[in-house]
Parts: sequence; structure tokens; C-alpha cells
Amino acid sequence: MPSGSAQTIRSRIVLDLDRCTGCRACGAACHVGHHEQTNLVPGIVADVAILPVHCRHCEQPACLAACPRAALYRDEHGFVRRSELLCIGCHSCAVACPFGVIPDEFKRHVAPKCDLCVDRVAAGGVPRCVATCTAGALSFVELQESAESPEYVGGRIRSRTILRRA
Amino acid sequence: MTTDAIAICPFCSMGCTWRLVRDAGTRYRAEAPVAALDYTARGGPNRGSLCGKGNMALELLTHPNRLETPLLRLAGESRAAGWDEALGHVVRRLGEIRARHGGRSVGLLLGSGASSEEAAAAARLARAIGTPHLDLCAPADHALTRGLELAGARPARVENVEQIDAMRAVLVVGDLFTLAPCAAKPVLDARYRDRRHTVAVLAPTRTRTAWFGRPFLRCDVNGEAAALAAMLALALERAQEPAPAWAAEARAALARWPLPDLARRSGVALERAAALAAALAGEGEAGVLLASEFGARARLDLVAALAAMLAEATGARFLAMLEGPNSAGVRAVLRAEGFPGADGHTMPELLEAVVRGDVKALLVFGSDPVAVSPGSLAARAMASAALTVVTAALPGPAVETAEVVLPAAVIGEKAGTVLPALGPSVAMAPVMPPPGWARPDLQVLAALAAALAPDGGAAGVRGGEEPLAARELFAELDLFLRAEGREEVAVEPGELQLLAEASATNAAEGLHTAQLSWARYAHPEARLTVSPALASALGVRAGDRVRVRSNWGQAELAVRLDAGLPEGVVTAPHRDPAVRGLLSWRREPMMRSLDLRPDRVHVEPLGEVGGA
Repeated sequence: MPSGSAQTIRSRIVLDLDRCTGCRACGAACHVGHHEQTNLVPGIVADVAILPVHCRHCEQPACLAACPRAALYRDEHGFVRRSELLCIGCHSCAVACPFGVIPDEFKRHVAPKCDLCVDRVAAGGVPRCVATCTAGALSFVELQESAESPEYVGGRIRSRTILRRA
Repeated sequence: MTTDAIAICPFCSMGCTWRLVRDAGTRYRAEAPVAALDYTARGGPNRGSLCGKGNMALELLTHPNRLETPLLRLAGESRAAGWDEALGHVVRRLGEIRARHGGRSVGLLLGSGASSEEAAAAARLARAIGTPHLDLCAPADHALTRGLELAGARPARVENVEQIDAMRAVLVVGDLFTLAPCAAKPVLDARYRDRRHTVAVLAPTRTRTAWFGRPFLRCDVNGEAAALAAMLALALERAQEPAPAWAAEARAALARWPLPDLARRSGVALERAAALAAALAGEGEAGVLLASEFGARARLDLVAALAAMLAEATGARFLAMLEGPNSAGVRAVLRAEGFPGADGHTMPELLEAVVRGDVKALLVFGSDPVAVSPGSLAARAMASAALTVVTAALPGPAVETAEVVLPAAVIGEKAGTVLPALGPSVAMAPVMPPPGWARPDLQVLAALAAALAPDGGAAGVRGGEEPLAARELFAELDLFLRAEGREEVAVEPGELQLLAEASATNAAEGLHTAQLSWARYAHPEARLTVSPALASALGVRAGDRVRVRSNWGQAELAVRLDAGLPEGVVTAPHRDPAVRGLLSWRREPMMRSLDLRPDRVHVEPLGEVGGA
């Protein structure tokens, strides 16, 4: 592990709606990189657009609170992660998540949970979904405390023309 | 961890590169110590990104269903055989057929994943057999490359993605982002870096690419050729010196069509076409990007020819994005070798000749004609040939019926040269051996050519075809525009036009991608896209199943809604086996390529008895 790896990493995945083409490469990269268990949900908006919905690694994670086995924990980087040993695949986190980003893909009896590709991020890289994005729609950036910029919607999804696909 | 040679993505002609990473710890196959794909290097046209198909490419090398031994299907029974027995059988049967019917009764098809060296070896084999019938087996790419070959236009090529970045005006024809998702990054960079840039998309439906069109030039169904002709006429009016060699003939030919007439036939307003033609011809870099895709357009060959001419007339760069990684290279080699030549059959002609019985033996290298062709002709050709030989890496409909199946290597397991759409040709090095007894097609082609002594005299391969004069090309356009006018009248009430689209499902239904987990992961089933108005008229909702009947067959498909569809039009992915049976294609006598036009279909909700 490189030095300073235990520091909190404030960068999160931001989706630029203006650029997403819905090719699902992010999901494929996640699928391949996480032992064929996809940790992000393809959001299908009114059967018109497909876009990835990512785990936000919340300040007060509902999934963490709901876990009966304490399998979910906040790691040294500030990411909300799932212990493969403790998880019993009970779906409590999936039910609790207010963003619906824990997909119904419980392989090997463990919940699919985004770990922000901590193996790559801790070494200074970016998550697999961000690296693979064919349209340049996903970025891994440090979040601002307040959403002053009108380009930011909800902090994790930005768009200049929100209703482009309406 | 060590890294291996650079390999090239086998799923489209974008030419994305990656390294196959060796890792002694994790092995997919004992003899194939490849652990991961590393595509993060910034060098290739993908610039560190990779589409979903590409992400799952390792599966192709390590697929559990890979064919590993030759198969012989004799008297309806299939059994494994050794290479000597299988090749001996092929040579003996070919010898018999050639002795009885002559060398011209053998036809060869070459897949779009073949290397340029394999194309040259196939040409040598065809000469040894004494047949002029050798062509590329990739229908959409075939039509597009034929159009470009015969059009005589020689626009500047887009050499690398940096040139797309720098473009100030781009015209995209077809669904580029579905065919080659990695092309989205440079095009959207051009689109968003400076919001005054023009990235126009010409398409009849709101495809994945059309979302990003600014402007989105929505043409009528089959209206692309007319729209491009109008833009070409406008561009030729103001073409700078020196004008292209074909300009005078083109001007004279286009003068027969008044511009408002062309605009009306295309469905694109004249002022919008004029603005785009002016933007392409204006200051700074411009480009015309054409995606090889059937269905949402008739006469892909004409569309390709006109797009290339438009690029040359406006001084824009031109990019033809093909489905196959080496379709362009295979066609270039075959053309240089004189195949299929004036007296040989092109791919659609060959399939027809096999069904007619004129050609007895069909040899297919590295492709599955049934899986890649719309309609049922390829399946009938496979059934009616006296001898069918297929080399394939994975099972498919042609493998199910062929008399001899030879296991093949895929890109990554064989050496060879590939010519991608962007950039120079790439020399591939094999990074691992093929599984089992599979061999690269190059060895098979060479072995067959060595075993079949030339039968002398009957070779009959004459030199390659000359490009058509612009006059002839526009006469073809005339015929097309007039005929379409007549056909429109023939649509009966209650009938819908089925556009065979290159949807995302289509991308997942590629020759190999259909069997990767990408297909299951991303696109579980093909759907019929209908407008909300039609859905409410039929009384169905999204996800409901309907029965679709055409003149050729029927299929049951689930419905998906798209508010952007034109009236009277439904779309479905043509690669899907169920949809394939609904379609038919015709052979264009002049360009000798395949044309897939919208078929007329009836749609009825499932569960109700009978039709009208």
C-alpha cells in the first residue's frame, strides 16, 4: 500500500447526464472487476434512457444501520464497504438503501456493494466504471461541501440541460 | 506481474487496443496465463476507456463453449474427428465436386475478423480451386465498402481520434455510438468543448447517437440518401477549386432533381441541410462519420457513396466505422487480388447461387453467414449446398448444420494484420495458443490450397472492378428515389413498417458477443419498439408481448415504448434470431451488394384470436 493510503478520500463518482450514452460499459467493467457481481444499478428512466446509479457512500448510511450482522462498515478511507465474511445476503441493506443502488444480484450469498474499487483508488487510480466510461460521462472528483454551481444536481449527478431526454 | 503484447478489440472496427496482463497467480487456462485486460494506456483510439463488449473480451479467449476439435457431420450424425481426417474429407469432397461441376461450383466466404494475411491466403485457395467466388461475409460492411469502392470519391481519412476532437463541424450518419461506443468520447468532446460546435446526426429515429445531435436532422424512413444528395448538390454549388474529378458529372446528374424535391423526399428541411453543408465546408476541420448499420436505412451502399462524396466536396475528413474489426482490410486485399471480380459472385449473389444450385460447395472461414445475415437466405443456402465447411470459434446456427466444422482461433490467439477504421494497420501477435486442437484459419487455408492442385485454365478470375462513373451512380440514385415514391403508396391500412435497427441488443447479438455474458448482462431479450400512440391503439403496455407477422414469418416479441418514433414505424434489432425471420433482403444488381429495407408487418396483441 502506498503511503497515505489510510487518509480519507473525499472523491466520489459524479455522472454527467449530458454525456451518458447508456452503453453500460461501466456495469460491464464492474461486473468483470468484482467477480461477476455488478455493484451499480442501470437506472432506466421511463424506458427512454439508461444511466448508471452509483452508491453515494453516504454520511449516515441507511444500509449500514440496517445490517443485522454489522457486515457493513466504514473503512479507513471513508468508504462504506461490505465484509464478504460477515455478510449473510439477507437483503436488509438493499431494502434500506434510499437510492436503490444495491442491485438484486446476490451471488455467493453476499450483497453487491460498491467498494469504489478501493484496490485501485488507494493506489491513486480511479474506479473501474470511471476508467472504462466510453463517453467521458463519469468522473471521480472531490465533492464540494455545497452545491453552489448550478451545474450540480444533488451532488452526484450533474447536467446543464436536465430535461434533454424528456 | 508482467504485461504482454498489445491486442486489438475484435468487436468493431474502432481499433481499441489493450494489453493482456499475465499473472502467475490467476490463470484462466493452464496454458493461457492471462489474468486481465489492461486498457488504461492512453495510446489507442479508446484512450483508456472500453465498451461493455470489450470489457468482456477475455471471456472469448476462455469461453467454456469454445470449439476444440474438428467435427464431421455425415448422414445426419455429428462426431469429432482429427484434423487429418477432416481436412482429407474436405479435400476429397471438393475434388469430387470440382471434377463433376468445375471449379466455379465452389464458393468461399471470409469473416470480418480474418486478418489481411488470411484474406490473401483465401485468395490463393480460391485460385487453387479455380473459383472467382470469394467475398467478405459481413452484410452491412459489405454493402458499405462496396459503395465506397465503386464511388470513386477519395476523401481525406480520419487518421486518429485527435482529429475528431479538433473538428468544428461533424455530420454523423447512423447510430455510431451503438456500433462503436468508444467513439462517443471524441465526438462528445467535440460537441461539448465549445458549445457553438455543430455535431449533426442524420437518422430517421431518435437513436442513442441522435440524442446528442445538435442539430438532429430527422429524415424520413429511407431518407438518408436523398438528404445526403441534397447536401451534396448544395456543397457542389460552392465547391472550392480544385473540384473533385467527378464533380462535373455529379452536378449534371443532380441537376435533374430540384433541391426542394430532394428535401421533400428526404424529410429534412432544405434550410437545415443547407446550413449543415455550409458548416461542413466552412473554416476549420470538419468530418463526416458513417456507421455501418442496416435497417434504419435503405441502400447503405448509396448512402456510403454519397457521404464520401459529400466529405470530399466539402473538404471534410471521412470515417467509415465498420462492424468487423478487419472488414476494410479483407475487402482491400480481396480487391487487390481481383475477387470477386466481374465474373465472380459477391456475397449475396453467392448465397443466391447456392440456393439455386449453381454453386455446390460453400466454404466459410471465420464467420457464421446465418447469424450475420438478416432473412432466411443464408440458412437456406447452408441447407441446400452439397458441401458446407465452416471454421468457427464458438457454436452458432451455421455450425449446427455444416458438414465439416473446423475449430478456429480468435484475435489474441493468432498473428496477423488488421486495418481498423481509425489509424494505420495494426500487427497482432498471438498472446496465447488457441484451446484444444483449434488452429488459426491461416493454417487451414494454406493446407487446403496446398492439397488442391490447380485445375488449370478454369481459374477465370479477371481483374477487379473499376469504380462507377458518377453518372451511373446517380442513375442508381434516381431509380432508388423514384421506386421509393411508388412503394410508399403500396402501404396498406393496418400495416406498419418494421425498421431493422442496430440497437444495443443488436450489438450484443454479434457473432461472438451473443455468447458472452455481456449479452445476458446488458440486454436480456430483443424488444419491438413501438410509439405510445400505437401501444394504446393495440391495448398493450411496455413489457407486454405481441405477435409480429411479416410476409416471411412471424415472431412474438415484448414491447418497448419510444415516444420519438415516427408514425407507422416499429423497430426491432435485426440480429435477433426471432426478428431475422421477419426480414427479407434484396440484392442490388448494380452495386451487387445486399439491401435491407423496412418490411411491412402486422402487429397484434398476444392472446387474442387470429388477425383481420
